[in-house]
Amino acid sequence: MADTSASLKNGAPEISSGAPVHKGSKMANPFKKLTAGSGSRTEILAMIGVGLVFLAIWEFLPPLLDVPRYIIPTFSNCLEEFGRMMQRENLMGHFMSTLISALVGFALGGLLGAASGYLLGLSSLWERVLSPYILALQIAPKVAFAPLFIMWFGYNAIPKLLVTVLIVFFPILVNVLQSMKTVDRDLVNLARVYSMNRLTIFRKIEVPSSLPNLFAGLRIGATLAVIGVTVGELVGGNTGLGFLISYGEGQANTAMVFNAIFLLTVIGIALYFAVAAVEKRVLHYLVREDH
Amino acid sequence: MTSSLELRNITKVFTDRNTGNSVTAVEDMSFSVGAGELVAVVGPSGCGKSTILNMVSGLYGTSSGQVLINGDEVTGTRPEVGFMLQKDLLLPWRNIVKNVEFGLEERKFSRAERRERAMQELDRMKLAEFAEHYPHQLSGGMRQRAALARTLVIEPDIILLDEPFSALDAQTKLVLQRHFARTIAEAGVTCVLITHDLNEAVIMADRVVVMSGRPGTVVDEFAIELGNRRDPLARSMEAQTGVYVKRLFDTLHLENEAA
Repeated sequence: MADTSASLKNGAPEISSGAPVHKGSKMANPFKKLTAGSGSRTEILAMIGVGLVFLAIWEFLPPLLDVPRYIIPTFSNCLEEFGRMMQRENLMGHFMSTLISALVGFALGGLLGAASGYLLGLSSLWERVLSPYILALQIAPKVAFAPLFIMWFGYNAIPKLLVTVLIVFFPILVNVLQSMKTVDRDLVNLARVYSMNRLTIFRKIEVPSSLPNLFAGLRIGATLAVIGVTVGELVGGNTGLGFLISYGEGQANTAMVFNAIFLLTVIGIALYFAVAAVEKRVLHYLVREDH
Repeated sequence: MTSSLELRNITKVFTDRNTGNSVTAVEDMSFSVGAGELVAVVGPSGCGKSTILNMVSGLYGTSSGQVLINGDEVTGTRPEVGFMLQKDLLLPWRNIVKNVEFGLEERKFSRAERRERAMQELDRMKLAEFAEHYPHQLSGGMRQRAALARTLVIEPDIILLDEPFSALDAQTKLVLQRHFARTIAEAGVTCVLITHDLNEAVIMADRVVVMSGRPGTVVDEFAIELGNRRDPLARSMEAQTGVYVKRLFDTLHLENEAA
């Protein structure tokens, strides 16, 4: 301790100009942002190259090996089938049905999950009482509930919506609850010193603090939503891409199955990036090292 | 108006809710801070320095004893008390000026008045041009200045500083100590500075209170007669400063050996 005080004293005369130090360290930030992320030109070319090679193998290898089209349809078979499905099978209708179910299920599951997470976060008593049940439900495979929902509600849109809500609900609940439990106590104390009441602290400290976790939950939920809808449609129903998968399977129309899987993936990716885009806007104040 | 602060025979016992074990953080501690005075509290780590601060700010009660502000017993948080920690506690989702406004939001000010007061305070801290920046865009020293702006904008009578400089590099620390010393003296507020940096205690304070290790209690207390509290750098150059630091060092060292 004596050493520190001595060196502080020696250092004292040299620090007449402190301001440039601040300026310098501030300037460093924008550069970091420029260099981080964004792959180089060659990387992008390589990415496209891999895709093209894959398409070429898919197109030419199966016929060379005499693999029949009901096992592996080629890329052009799939494109052809895609056109037929557009015209004859009301592909757009099925696509929209699945898309809307996924969106509605994701929105409902997200809302319910976030609301439950915040409520449980506000009451540590209820959180402790309910935590074993939450854990059990979280571990239970949600897709296994699909046949149950069909028995209860019949062959309509409700079962697949319920599966989606259920599967989206938990990761969001758990993430929000986790964030409520790890809010910086000092920030809460600061708000208390400024005479803020419980509700104001929740609104001004806890909710904003929880946003990064909420969005992490939403991103997971976005991909799970597609799984929920698909399972619901596979198990029962006569609309949606999941239905087309089981329908195509029944007709040994493998190209139809391929196309449905492709479109489901498109929905999942779109949902994920939509969430990521909103997250980037809302959480603009966070410094990101990776993408 | 400035306020005086008195701690009278404070004891604080923490009991673990699960195990039932209790720890005495502070025991029979008394000291007072006159109106406009800056008192530094030093002591080994874990001696309950921050506990004192939390009791003075009304965040939690004492187990026995009283905290008095202008003779009134503290029973909860009070609008005339501001506090500041080693962490700047700036809200990352608010820009600097909105962070400064944070403390004013429970007061009866219009939006425009809040903004005006916050900007005045930022001006004083030489941060006006960074008002629209977010905390992550500022250096550690600038963030601490913004935190001081937030603390002073509510025009507190008493401010509690809990190691506000300890996370900063040596140069920034010296610049900021000088800046704080001037600002606090100009604002004329009563101030408790909790620190483990003995040199800092001597160059910033009117008086120093030395605490023992846990359970914390006062083992020494003396006035710093260096004058010129606005200029800690000049103070640090004086020979007498070393004498005070030596006294603190010896007091704490002996305590450590005894424990």
